[in-house]
Amino acid sequence: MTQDEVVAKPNRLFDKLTLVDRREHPSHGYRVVHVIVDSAGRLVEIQVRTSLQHLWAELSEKLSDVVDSAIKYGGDEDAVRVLMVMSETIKAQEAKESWLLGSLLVNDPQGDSDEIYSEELKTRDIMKQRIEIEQLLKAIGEVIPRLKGRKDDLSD
Amino acid sequence: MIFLIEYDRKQGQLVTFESFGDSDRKKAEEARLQLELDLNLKGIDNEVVLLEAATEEAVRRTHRRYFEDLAELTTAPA
Repeated sequence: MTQDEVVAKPNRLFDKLTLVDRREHPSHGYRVVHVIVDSAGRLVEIQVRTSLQHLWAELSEKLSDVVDSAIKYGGDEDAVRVLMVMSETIKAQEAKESWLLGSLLVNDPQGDSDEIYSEELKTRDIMKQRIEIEQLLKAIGEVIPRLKGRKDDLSD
Repeated sequence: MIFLIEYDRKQGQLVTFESFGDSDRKKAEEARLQLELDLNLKGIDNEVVLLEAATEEAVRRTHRRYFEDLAELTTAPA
């Protein structure tokens, strides 16, 4: 199920609903869709993230915890710049995956081996890029605390 | 299920984790208040939260930062 399909679900369940879509205009790199619903008089925020958006958000929060709490609010310029670049990379990746999904659904290459081969290459390429993004996020999680120091590190 | 979590932000580590049944909401809220009062008396600035989820596995996936260090957290997928 795509993120848009998940976001559309509460539309059918709640009368009052506010959509905050931060995918095009992220908050310090934080890309997500928040759906705020009125449930029996109480406002409830539903955060709908893709797996890459969630990984990015958890990394950003954890770096804010152990390195600098300002990271979450755009305060530590170096760390935030790196995270924002990754956020844009994830955005581009998600656009490619969305295109790929659409292309696979529309094109049904029956029996044409060249076409099947070409689809397979495209799929492999896009999936490889996803793995590279995950590896980059892992590297950022290792490097930023080393460069910036950790909050619990009392040595100078 | 309801989960009471105490998290040390500076260390990035979980300190205490307690689970309650859905019918024990009042007990869970009292436990949270008591924990916050204890930490306040000791001058400890830990994050204390009550989370509700269908299973412990779900809360470990939605709130990975409470349970995993940076290396574990960036090992996708959850």
